[in-house]
Amino acid sequence: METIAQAAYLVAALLFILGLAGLSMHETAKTGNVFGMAGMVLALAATTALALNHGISGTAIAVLMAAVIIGTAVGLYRAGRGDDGDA
Amino acid sequence: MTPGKDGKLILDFEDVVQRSMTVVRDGDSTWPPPPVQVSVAASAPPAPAPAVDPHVRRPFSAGRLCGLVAFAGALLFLLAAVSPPALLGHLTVFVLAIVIGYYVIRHVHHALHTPLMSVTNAISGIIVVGALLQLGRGGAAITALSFVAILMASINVFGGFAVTHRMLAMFSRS
Repeated sequence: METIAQAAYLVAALLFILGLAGLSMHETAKTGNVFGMAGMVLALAATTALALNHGISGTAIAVLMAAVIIGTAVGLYRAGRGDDGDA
Repeated sequence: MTPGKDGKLILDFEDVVQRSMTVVRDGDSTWPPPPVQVSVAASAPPAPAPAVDPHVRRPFSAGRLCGLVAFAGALLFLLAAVSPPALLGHLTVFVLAIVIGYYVIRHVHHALHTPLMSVTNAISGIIVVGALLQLGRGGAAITALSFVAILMASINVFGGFAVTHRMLAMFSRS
């Protein structure tokens, strides 16, 4: 399992590099952002699988879900605020 | 155009703007106006040939470059040689990351600096994996800290990618 996670981290790191490289040109900027998101999804999935494999408790899973959901909501809210917000 | 503030229009023909926009005055056609005298500075000959721009660093000479590389290589070799094996692996990743980062970011388009910083910030949220692995490994304090860390990093990750997406959408020619 550790090896699988390491492999996933390696692929995720390469996806991050591709993402940053893509962001340096207009033509590839959106693709770069998608690469970055893919890398993040991969790394998070691998880490979650690793944590589950270690046998974390149900409470820990609940805490994890709560933190991720609240964080996602706050992040998307802050990011999606248009010109009406003061930043 | 009414210096006396009394509604009486007084045209100042010395003023190039008023002279240029006047077509008829007192029954005489004043069009076309005389060519506008641009300021002296602009008519001066262009600056003497673009001399050496002090902001552009001249590349090192071959000898100096070799010397610098040799010095840096020796320094790095000494550092790596005396470091414990655990550090060596991280040092390898660190050095390669510096090189890759330098070449990946070097020629970034000016308009893309901000989205690039934004996506870099989002990617830096990868530290969430550290908090994830600490979750449920010990007491309540560690769990609480992990909760806070995951919360903060999630804001960074999802908000960062979303705001980058929004920025890039502004570039699209509709």
